[in-house]
Amino acid sequence: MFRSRLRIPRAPRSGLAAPSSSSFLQSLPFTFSRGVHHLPSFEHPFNEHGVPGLLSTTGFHVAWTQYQSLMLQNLETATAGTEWENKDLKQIILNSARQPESAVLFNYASMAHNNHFFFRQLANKPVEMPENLQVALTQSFGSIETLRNEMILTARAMFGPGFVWLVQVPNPPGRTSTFKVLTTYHAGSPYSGAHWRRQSVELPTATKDPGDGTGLGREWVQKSAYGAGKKAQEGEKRPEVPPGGTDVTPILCLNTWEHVWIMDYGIGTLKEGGLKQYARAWWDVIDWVKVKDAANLTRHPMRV
Amino acid sequence: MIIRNIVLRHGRQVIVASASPSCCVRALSTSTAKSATTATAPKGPTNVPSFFTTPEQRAKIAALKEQMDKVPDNFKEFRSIQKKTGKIGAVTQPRHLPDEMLKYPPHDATLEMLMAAQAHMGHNTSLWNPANQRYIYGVREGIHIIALETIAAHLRRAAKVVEEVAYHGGLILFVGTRRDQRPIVVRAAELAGGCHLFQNWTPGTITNRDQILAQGKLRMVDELDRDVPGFDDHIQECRPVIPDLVVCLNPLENYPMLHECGLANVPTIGIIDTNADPTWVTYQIPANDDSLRAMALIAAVLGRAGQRGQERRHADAEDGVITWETPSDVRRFVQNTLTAKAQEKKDQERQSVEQPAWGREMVESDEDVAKAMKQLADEEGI
Repeated sequence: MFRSRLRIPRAPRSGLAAPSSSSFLQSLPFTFSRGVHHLPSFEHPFNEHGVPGLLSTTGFHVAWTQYQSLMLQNLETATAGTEWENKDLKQIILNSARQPESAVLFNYASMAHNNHFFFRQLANKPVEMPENLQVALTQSFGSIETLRNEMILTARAMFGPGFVWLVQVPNPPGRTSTFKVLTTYHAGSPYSGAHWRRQSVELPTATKDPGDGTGLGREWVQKSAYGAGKKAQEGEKRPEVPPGGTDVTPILCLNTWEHVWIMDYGIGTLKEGGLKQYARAWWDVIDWVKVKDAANLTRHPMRV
Repeated sequence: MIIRNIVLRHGRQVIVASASPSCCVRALSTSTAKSATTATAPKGPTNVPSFFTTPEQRAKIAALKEQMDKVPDNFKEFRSIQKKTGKIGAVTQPRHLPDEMLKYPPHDATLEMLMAAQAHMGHNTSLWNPANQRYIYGVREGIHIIALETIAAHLRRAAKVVEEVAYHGGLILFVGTRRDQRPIVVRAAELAGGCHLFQNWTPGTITNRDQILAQGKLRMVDELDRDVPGFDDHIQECRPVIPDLVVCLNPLENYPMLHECGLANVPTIGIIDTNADPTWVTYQIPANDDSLRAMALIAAVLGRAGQRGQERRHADAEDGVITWETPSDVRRFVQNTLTAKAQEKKDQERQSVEQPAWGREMVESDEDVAKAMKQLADEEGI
């Protein structure tokens, strides 16, 4: 190994202001140092006009530009000098999900990934749902209205911050495709490779056993046993994974973290405003073409 | 003038001292050789004959096969999902890793790569050699800046020289005597099929090579770089080899070597910083010789050029086009050997013609005597 040395000493880096019209935001210090992870851009001009129908310019700036930059900077700080320094976010997520000591890496990487996933599926103007996606979703949920209500009510029911996902699962014999709604709290990940950090339920509210508090602990032990090669016994149900495939494909998500909607929708009341209004507004700005591309409808489905 | 190296790169007229016994055996053998090391194909469920398994076992095998048949389609879909979701979250552009140039050597250096490698940074303006003014773009922060286009142009010229020397069967020596240049020169020499030197050049390695390089081993190779037997005598007697091209990463510290190369008419390529003397080498590459990243980049480009030359040479050799000639001393050795063998054969024939078969004591080997006795016994009916 060798290092090269520059002859000219570098000038000290100074903090630069964020490029925005608001004076409040201008006063926040930002350092644009050359990093490994850069902020992704969108095909729509969200930076200038926000997300029409969902977020204002300021709201988008807080929810995306500032928050995503912060997540990526934190991730760079956490991975600097380690083996994860130049790795993709998904690799970091899958490899740090199991170890509690790499929780920092997982949190920042997963949060950045989920946040980008949310903003990617948003459109500039209303997009009609493609025919095949409509048929497939209707088969799983009965109707599109039901799916909409399911996702909005799930978001409403989540007490803490997190994400509400629409995922595709492997097909049981005789069906073309199956979808279901999934929740992940905080920075939980829906991917099956990171199932250790799914965080689909809030810890205090999840009790499988009455009173003794070992519900989730037992689940953890069981997962470890399956990982070590234990066969499923009579009565125990093990999730069917298609051989060579994966059991969860996320196609759509809703970001229910407060910082995303609080500036534009406020806290709200029982009847209106707040998270409920935000979730309803979100349904109308979903880019269903992108959702269809993420789903596997036209190709050969995964067989269990 | 480029001195040919002393290896036989002969076309179809290869002199072979004696046929190896294995050739004869293989030629005579009619059986198809079955190697003991061939791995047999793993028997899948379909190959299991039915009379070896019970119905339960056959059902299990069928179920397993059914599972395995699903894998290719599922895996293809899995991979497409991975591809789609792998890059979500950030645009990841890794920084430069020092080993990058060694692991993934580029074929050409762009101006951006040269600048990122700090190849344009010369020395303090008071330390310059005015002969280098044609390479300098200007002054900044008290140092001379070498023009990037000049670096690129000279590097490409040097790469062309390296490629063509390799194409014509030349031996290229990469020299970098600073401590951290070791992996760089080794990798460049490996790519170009040449030799490397990262320790001090012993003065006299070319001019006094009969003493200094006496221990070195030599190989005799043909047009496809395969060893040619029958030249042990020549290899023992001939002079040590000198390189056809020398690439030096730090000419300022290797003046004796460059001087000897000049005396022996060996062309040299050297990295010329703003304080170096451009007249010491044949082909200058003006660049920052204190930057290891720049040295790694330049050596990688030259190594790749050598690799391209070698590949072209091999490709042409396989088509029957030999791009070099046998050196004169090897040709002389071959001629002398042929002449000697022809003379020997002539003497033998003359001897056998002149001497009558009878009236003279014939010295024969034991096997011949035994054979003659047996033949006689058969004829007599004993």
